Amino acid sequence: MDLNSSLKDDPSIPDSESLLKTVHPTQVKDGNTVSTGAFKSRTNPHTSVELGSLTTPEDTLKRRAQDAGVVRLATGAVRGIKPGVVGVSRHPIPESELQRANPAHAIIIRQLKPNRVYKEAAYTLATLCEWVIGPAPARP
Amino acid sequence: MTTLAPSRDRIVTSDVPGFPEIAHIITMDTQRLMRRSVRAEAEAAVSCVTDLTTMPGVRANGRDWLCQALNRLESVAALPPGWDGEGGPPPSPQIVASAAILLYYLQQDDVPVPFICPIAGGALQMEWSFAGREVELELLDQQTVAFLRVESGTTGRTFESGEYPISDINRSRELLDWLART
Repeated sequence: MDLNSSLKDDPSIPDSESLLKTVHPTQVKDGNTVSTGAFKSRTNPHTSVELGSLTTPEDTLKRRAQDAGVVRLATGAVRGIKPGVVGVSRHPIPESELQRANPAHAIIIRQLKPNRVYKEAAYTLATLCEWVIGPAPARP
Repeated sequence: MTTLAPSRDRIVTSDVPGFPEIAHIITMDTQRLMRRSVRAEAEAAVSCVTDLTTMPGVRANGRDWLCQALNRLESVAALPPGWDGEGGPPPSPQIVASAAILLYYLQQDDVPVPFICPIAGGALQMEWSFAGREVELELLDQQTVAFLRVESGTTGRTFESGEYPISDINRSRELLDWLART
């Protein structure tokens, strides 16, 4: 495994697990295509998601920006982007003064370097997205 | 860091790192930019991109393209703090200013108007998709463009990526020329 942090791909998360992610309307092209920008960060190589078996798309949306949409990615497809480099790890958030507990929170693990792999992974992640709840402008 | 003098209400683009050799003037409310309020910074950035279309050198056939692109940039620049639901900052005014200047120099009507979107952590990217080819220019700071170009063919996708100084306008133009090439 080539994950250079304490976060490692968690084999207890089955390939069939749905990963739910909110997408802001400004990161949606032509009304329904998720931009790769939704899977990039200036500071953090990893991407926050929630495990579909432990929450619902509606609850995922409530915890994030209300005008966002929710997409689903299959864990197995995410791992398949680059096995050993891209993985999924549980990252439950404990209750605190700042936020409510979120046992469904997980992370798509990547590395910022090499830059080429990071960008290609972002591109492929965007292509794997399936809408569960459309972004605000697309809702009826 | 952009070295803006608080007493001026106009800056030259040489104040924006990455464009030291360019002498055009951008109108910018530097008083607002210098305020600590993030909202004020966003407003200042919007002021910057709005005024850019009146600059000399905007070609007649590039004006519509540039106006549409700057409108998209404006909507991204005006995002509030926490836009991503995780408390993240909007694109920094400095990056927005650099993006506006880059668009000004790229103005061309033979490729589509770019899709522009924020990136978590205060950055942004521009994207073009045309005839099975895609180009992304990511502005992570004021000095550097990170690019990804993708070509989809019958055997799959091919990727190329890298970084170059934002002042290398020719490199940005080459990428868009590749996009438009048949």
